[in-house]
This record gives sequence, structure tokens and C-alpha cells, in this order.
Amino acid sequence: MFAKSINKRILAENLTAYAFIFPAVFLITLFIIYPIGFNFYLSFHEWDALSANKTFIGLNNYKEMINDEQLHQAIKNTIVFTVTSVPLTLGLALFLAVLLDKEIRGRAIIRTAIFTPVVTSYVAAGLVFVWMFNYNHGVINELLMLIGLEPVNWLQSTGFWAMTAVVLLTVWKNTGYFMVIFLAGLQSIPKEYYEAASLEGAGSGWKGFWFITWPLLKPTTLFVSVIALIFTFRSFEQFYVMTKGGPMGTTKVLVYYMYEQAFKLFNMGYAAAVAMVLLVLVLVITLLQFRLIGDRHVQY
Amino acid sequence: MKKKVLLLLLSVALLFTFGCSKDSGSADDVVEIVFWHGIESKENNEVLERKIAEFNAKHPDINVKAQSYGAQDQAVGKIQTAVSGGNPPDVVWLAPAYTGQFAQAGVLVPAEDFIANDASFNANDVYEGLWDVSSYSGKRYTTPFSANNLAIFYNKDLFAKAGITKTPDTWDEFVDVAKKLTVDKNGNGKIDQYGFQVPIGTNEWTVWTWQTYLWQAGGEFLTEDGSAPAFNSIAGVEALQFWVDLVYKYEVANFSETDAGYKTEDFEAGRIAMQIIGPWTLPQLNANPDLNYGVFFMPKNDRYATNIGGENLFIFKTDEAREKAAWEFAKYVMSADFQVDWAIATGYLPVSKSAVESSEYQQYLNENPVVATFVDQMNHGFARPSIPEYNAISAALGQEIEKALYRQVTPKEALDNAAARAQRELSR
Repeated sequence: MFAKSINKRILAENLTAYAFIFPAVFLITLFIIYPIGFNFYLSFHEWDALSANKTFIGLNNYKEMINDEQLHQAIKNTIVFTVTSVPLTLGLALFLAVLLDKEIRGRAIIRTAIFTPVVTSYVAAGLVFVWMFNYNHGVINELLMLIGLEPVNWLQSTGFWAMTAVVLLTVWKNTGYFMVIFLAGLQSIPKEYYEAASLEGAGSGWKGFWFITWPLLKPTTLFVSVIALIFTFRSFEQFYVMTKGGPMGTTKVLVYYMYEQAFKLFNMGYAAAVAMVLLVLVLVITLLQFRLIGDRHVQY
Repeated sequence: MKKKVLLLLLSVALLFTFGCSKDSGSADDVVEIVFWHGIESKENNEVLERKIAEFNAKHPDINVKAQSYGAQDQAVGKIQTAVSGGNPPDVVWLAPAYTGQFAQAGVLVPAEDFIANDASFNANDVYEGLWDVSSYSGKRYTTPFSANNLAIFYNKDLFAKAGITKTPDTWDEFVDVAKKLTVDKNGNGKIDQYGFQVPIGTNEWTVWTWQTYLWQAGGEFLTEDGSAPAFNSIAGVEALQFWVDLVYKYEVANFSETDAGYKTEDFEAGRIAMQIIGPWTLPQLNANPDLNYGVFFMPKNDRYATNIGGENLFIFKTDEAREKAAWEFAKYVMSADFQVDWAIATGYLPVSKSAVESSEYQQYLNENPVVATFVDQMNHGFARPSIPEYNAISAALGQEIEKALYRQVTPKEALDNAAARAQRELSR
């Protein structure tokens, strides 16, 4: 009798718990888990996203990737884009956060100014950047010429200039977001540590940053770098607006290539296989990051 | 207990919001069809709305609703989503070059079926060439909505300033004229005004403008039976070399913004004196009071040639009543009533002979020599093949043309590479 009522209570509690998590689980299943599963299924098929029937072709999509030079270039471009824009964004965000954590004049205005690009749409910002980077009459080349440098054909030369332009847009756009997260991290570091350290002569300046701020900020840094990396791997809009993947594919990143295959060339199955590559890449690099930054001395 | 009931009720309510989002149809006797289009200019949209209202008034049993899908190069993804979601659009306005791809996928109702069973419709009134690009394996699938082609727009003031009195008729004359129009105004070693602009990028725009040069040089895009690429001929190499030379040898042309060769900002600002574009830009150019422009035939080398473009109506498989209503609408669009009003208001070219020959349109042509040039040029029109493989071939060719324009490969290498990829697509 007694045991039964306990069981009943546990059952009731569990049911309530399940009811509470049901909406979240339902939505995650519908919008994340199911699409990933469907994508995996598609990657073994040939499909134009119109016909009723999908042709099963086994591993052919994956085999085709081995000799697809455009895909290899896209992977390379994605990596180049990531290893340049992520450290630049995070470095700048951390620098600004430390600076703006101090009581300086006009702090609120500067913070707002730096955060504004985050809420600007990539399309609008991209259009303005295209205009600023124009070879013949863009403001950036005018400035370069003012200080005696040669104008650069940013968006239409065969080297790395187009990628540089997109990296600059991305850094400009994302720095504010990560700065805010760093600021939150900084504010959670107790002031007492700095006071204690200043007795030892290490409370301020470079030493304070290196021995107190940096180690205690590690959880934030880990979180921020994982998020930044995933952001960057998924980048699409800035390339679509600024370069369309050109010139000659030098800014064609994985997601852009996927889009082209799926919605321009009607190769939905192949695009799905490319998406699987992206998934694996992001997963591997995220795990690596946890290993590298998430060392055992820090507790989360 | 109360809380549990509330929780249960909320969960059920949540489920219901997911389950019941399908809107119920309107009254039974009126068939409602949605017309997807990508007509962007405000002026053109107003005309469209007016003509649709006239159609609805004349057909009390049909209600056509226009819905914009945004830019046309974004449309395919949206159509794919709608079709695979089991909710296809009724009628879609799209380039005829997609006919093969959609017909092959089996999602279209072939126009041929309606034409065969509808005595009220005279298919011979529509230009034969337009039906050709609307067909897939010998069967008419889509119906012409409006036509256009490409010509050279030129800035009359800049021509006068350079002392040019006659528009060029051949490639050689074109180069001569372009040289005179390329000027460094302030003598700082940087050219401020180019004679011409070469479209760059890998998109369809680059390919379809380049095709006119291929045809002008006497070349063909595919072999006659359509089984193999033919653009890597001597004529093809000559055509691509001409573009490269305009930029690097004669130095009379700059590049357009990547994949945006159709933008007219540079032309309107006088930064280029000549540009390849089509008649759909006329309302915009006419709205610019500072611009004094004219139009001439694409210059010939071996022969005159332009590329016939335009849009078609694609009728998707839905249910019998909606498909029939969609056909009624397509028929109305091809009639002189719609064509004359639409053409006069927008600058697009009519698709039917009765519309072109009507006194109203003839009078309009007399008053608008620019449009008359486009109509005359239809006689030298060539068209892209509407085969399912066209998109993939065009993408391959676009990438290779871009490489040649950046001088990473020679025109011959570029075209041979593209032809090899095209052959792979065709023999798949």
C-alpha cells in the first residue's frame, strides 16, 4: 500500500517532468533532429527536389566528392575564412571588452556603437561594403590613394583580396556580439582577486590580465570560440551579397557551394552529402576546441 | 489536480496550433489560383494588377491572385520547397530555359494537352521561336508571357562629345567607337569613362550575353541534334577572345559588378558609354532625366545575332479545376488584349503576331524607335536550348568564361574545358 503510493507519486512527478520538457523536445525533434536525419537519408539519393521519386545511388555522392575540385576549393576557402576571421573577431572583441569594462567616458555610447553592426542585416551592410570596396570609386580606395598607396581591386582580382574584404565585413559585424559576452564574463570575475593581487604588485595592467583575467575568463573564451566557429562555418549571406563566391571561386565557401548545388543545379542529394561533410567538420573542430581550451584546471 | 488539467489543456492547445494551420478554401464556385511572379519594378506591377483585375472581372468563376516571389534568380529554391512540401504554386512566371528541368521532373501540366483540346485558342498566333524554347522533347510545356532580347544601349551625349555620328555595325567599327569613348578625363592616369562594359561572373547573365557573340561569329551552342556542345568551335574562341581583347588589348571596357552585368548605374552615371541590356530597363532609364540614350543592333561579325529571352508561364500539377483556371489565365496572357497593354506599359515585346500587328502597338513603335529596334532584332534572334541539362552546362561555361576573362586560361582552353563538362552532363 505504502510502496504503491510512492510509486504513484514518482510516476506523477515523472509525467509532469515529461510534460514540461515535451514542447522543447518536440520542437528540437521537428526542426533539428528530423532534418538532420532526412539530410543523411538524402545524401544517398539523386533528387532534383521536384520529382516524387528519389533515386537511391548508394555512396555515389560521397565518391563524387573525392574528385570534385570545386568542393576541395570550397573546403579550403572555408578553413581560410575561419582561421582568419575567428581569431580577428575574438581578439578584437576581447580587447574592446577589457577596455570598455573600465570606467571610461562615453562608455555606453561606445558599447552601443560597437554592438550596432550585430543588429544590422548582412544584406544591407553587404551592399554598403560592396560600394565602399568598389575599385573605381569606392571610399576605401580613395583613402588608400590619399595616404599614397595603390588602389586595390578588392572584389575583382584573382588573389586573396575578395576574401579579405569579406573577412573585414564579418569581423565588423560580429565583434560587438562577442564583446558583450566577454563583458558579461569579465563582470563575473570578483574584484577581490585584483585587490589581493595588487598587494603583490600584480593587480593591474598586463600582469593583472595575464594572471587573473585570462584564466578566469576561460569558460567564456571556450563558449565564445565554439559559437564563433560554428557561426563562421555556416556563413553564407556575406558571400552571397558581396562576391557570389567569385572571383573564380576564391570566396566560394561550403555553405555557398551547397546552396548552388541544391538550388541552382538541382542536385539536392549531392548538396545533402556536402552538408554531412560540414556537419562532421564542425563536430571534429568543436571537440578539438574542448580538448585544447577546456583543460582540467578550470571548472565550469 | 487543477494544475494537471491546465497542463493537459495547454499541451492539447499546442498540438492544435500545429495541426490546424491549413487555411480553409473560399466559396466553392470560385476557383482561386495563385500566380507567382518576380516582376520587380513598381510601374510594371501596377499594370499587372490592373490586367489581372480585368481578367477576374471577365471570369466570375476564377480568382487570380498575384504573389511576388522576389528576384527571379531566387525563385527555383522557393518552387522546390513548395513542390516537395506538397503545395505547388498554380502558375509561375519564370525563364523558359527552365522548361526542360521542370518538365522532366514531371511536375508540370503540359500546355500541349490544353492546346490540343481547346478550339478557342490559336497557337499559330504566337511566334514559332517562342514555342521552340517552351518545348521539351517535342512537346510544348510552358506558354510565353512576354519576350525580350539584347541590344547595345549607348549614351548619345557621350557619342556627340566624342564626335561619333554613326553607330557601329560590325565588331571592328565597335572597337573603333569604343576607343574614342574611353577617356581619362582628369589626366591622373586612371580611366574615368569606358567605352563598354563586359559582364563578369559565373551566372547565367554572363553566359547569355556571351552567346550572342558566339552566334554573331557564326558559331552554334550545341550540335544540331543537341547531343554535344558546339561552342568550343573557332567561332566560339573568336567570340571569347573578342571579350578578352576589349578589356586587355584595346583597353576600352571594364568589368561589371560580379554577376550583376544588368545593373545600369554605371551607364546612367556616364562611367560607361555603351552596355548590353534589354528592353525591360526602359521604364527605369526613361525615369532618369539626365540620361539621353539610344539603342542599336548588337554588331555583327559573321551575322547579326541576339539572344531571345523573356518569361513563360509554368502551370503546375494541382487539381483539374485549378489547372483549367490556370490555362484560362495563360490564354488571356497570350491574347492581344493583354499583350498590347503590357508591352506598351513595360517595354517588353509582345509574344503574339496579332498584338504586334495591332494599330495601337504599331503607333507605339512609331513613337518609340528604341522599342522598334528590339522588335526588328527579333528577326535575328537565337535562343538557348530548353533542355534539362542547360543549367549545369551554363554553370560550367560561366565558370570557364570567368577564368578566361581573368586570363587564367586562354579562350580556347576555357571553352574546351567547358565543353568537356557539358559533354559529361549531356551523356549522363
